[in-house]
Amino acid sequence: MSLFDKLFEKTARGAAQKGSRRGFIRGLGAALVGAGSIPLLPVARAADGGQKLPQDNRLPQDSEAGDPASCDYWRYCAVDGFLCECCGGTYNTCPPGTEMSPITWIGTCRNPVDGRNYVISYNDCCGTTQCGSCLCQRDEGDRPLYRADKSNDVNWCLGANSSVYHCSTAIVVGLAFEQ
Amino acid sequence: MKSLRSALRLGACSVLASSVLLSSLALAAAKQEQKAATRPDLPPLPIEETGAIRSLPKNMPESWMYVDEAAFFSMFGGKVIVLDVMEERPAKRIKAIADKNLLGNFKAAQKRDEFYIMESFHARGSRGPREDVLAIYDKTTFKILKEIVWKDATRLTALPERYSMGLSKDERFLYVANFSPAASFSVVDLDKREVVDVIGTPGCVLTYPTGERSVTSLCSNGGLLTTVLDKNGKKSAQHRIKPFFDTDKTPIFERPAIIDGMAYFPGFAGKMHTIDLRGDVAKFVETWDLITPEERKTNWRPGGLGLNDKDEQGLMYMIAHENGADGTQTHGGSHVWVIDVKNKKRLRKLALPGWGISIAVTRGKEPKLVVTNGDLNLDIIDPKDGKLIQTISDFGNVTPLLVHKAY
Repeated sequence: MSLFDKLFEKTARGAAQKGSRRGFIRGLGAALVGAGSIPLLPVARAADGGQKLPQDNRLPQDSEAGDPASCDYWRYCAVDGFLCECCGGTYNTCPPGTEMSPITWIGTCRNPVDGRNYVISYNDCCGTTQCGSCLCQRDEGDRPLYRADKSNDVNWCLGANSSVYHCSTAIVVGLAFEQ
Repeated sequence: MKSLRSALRLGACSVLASSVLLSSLALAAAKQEQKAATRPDLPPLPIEETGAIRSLPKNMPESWMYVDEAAFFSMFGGKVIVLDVMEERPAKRIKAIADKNLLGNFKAAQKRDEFYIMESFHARGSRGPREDVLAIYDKTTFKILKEIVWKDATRLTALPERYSMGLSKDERFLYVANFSPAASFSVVDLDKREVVDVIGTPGCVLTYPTGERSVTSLCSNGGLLTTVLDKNGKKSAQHRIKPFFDTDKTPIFERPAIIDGMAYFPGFAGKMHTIDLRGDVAKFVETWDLITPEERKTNWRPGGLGLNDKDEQGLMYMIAHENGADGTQTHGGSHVWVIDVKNKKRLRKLALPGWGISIAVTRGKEPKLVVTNGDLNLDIIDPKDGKLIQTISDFGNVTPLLVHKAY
């Protein structure tokens, strides 16, 4: 079975268990037109727009459930890439020897434990060629390149010293607004 | 202990048997060799020249395609493969290969004997300063005619797109999308072989050729931006076209089929959006339904990476799937819809032999479908009846995500 078949199987399973999307970041990207040549910084804006949470990089806590090495893990709802959890890093840290891209795309994922929607920043880890393990493509809320803040088709290592993509993290950067 | 001895005895017997077998095989091979060498009456082989390199014909046959092998598993393994998709002999399908580094972008000219690869390199593999380079290739020799180095390393690096580069109608100018993430495009004068302008397109991406000398980009507010160039390829004016879709609620694919100057952009949920690109400035024309009320009940919708293409008769071919949902838009589908876009009518629904991720259509009056399937091989299909002609694998493919016509 090819990796893409596995990928689609995982996608189908993920879709079956996902909850409804009740929240979203209002107006993200709406201000892009007319923004001149100011670079788009979705993560920075997401953090500003969402309710900030205390930073905590511990392994999954009581308020989270699931396996961060599985494509079904709740934070990966909009991911498309290799999971850093399988590449020597974790869901929110990069593997040794790589560099985290400071700019990236975001998704809004529902944590099944507390029922809240969170803004997830999928910062790429860069500087070493593709990890090649745990390819995961979920794409929920993904948009084409015209909504760069929500587009996982872009190589976001463009913001790092090296444009070479290695793997993707999934970092909670805020609570999403409720609709 | 006894059992160990038995095992050793058995092992010795096996070794002996193997030696006898090998000796017999070697003897047989030697005899055959002796037989083959017993034709001294034949004239000796002619002496051959070294250094010969083949080239491709100026007009490529209709069944030849450029395969964009994105190499999603290695940033350094990207390539463009010229493949005869109707060739039955596997060894004769590959015609030529060009490198395409770091998710490089590709465009083939139709009138000029050239193709273009926009790629990036770090000085020392994955590290060191980055350089973005446009390589202008001779399509017959596959030799680079000219390399143009970007002043700033800003070119778009993303999954393959048909319109990450565009050509003006007369093919004098090449438009190359940049994304840093500030969006812009570079205009390359292909006669002078130099960049003549870099034009900012705030909030708008990609390069859809428009009219004689204009470029349209798709914007984050659901509208369009058309940049009009002067005769030297420099910016003359920019026009914003008001939003015609909601990028959050009713998103569209950024991958239109452009047929006779009309761009047909499918929406995620199955509405088609027609844009007129024939004049100097793009015009929104209309939105129409691709899906019947019955199909909508089971969430039929378009999907895939390179999800559509056109034939030379003006028909559009698009991959579709049932039970669509948020997130399935890039995952491909089980069917291909054949659409007469001029009459806003779907002509046929073809069931694919497997799953389809991307689609392309060969040139000519008897077009064939080239579908990147779920195993990341290519299914060649007759669109008249949906019959599988052949599946092409083992051509150096890992992730052949987009296929283009060759001219």
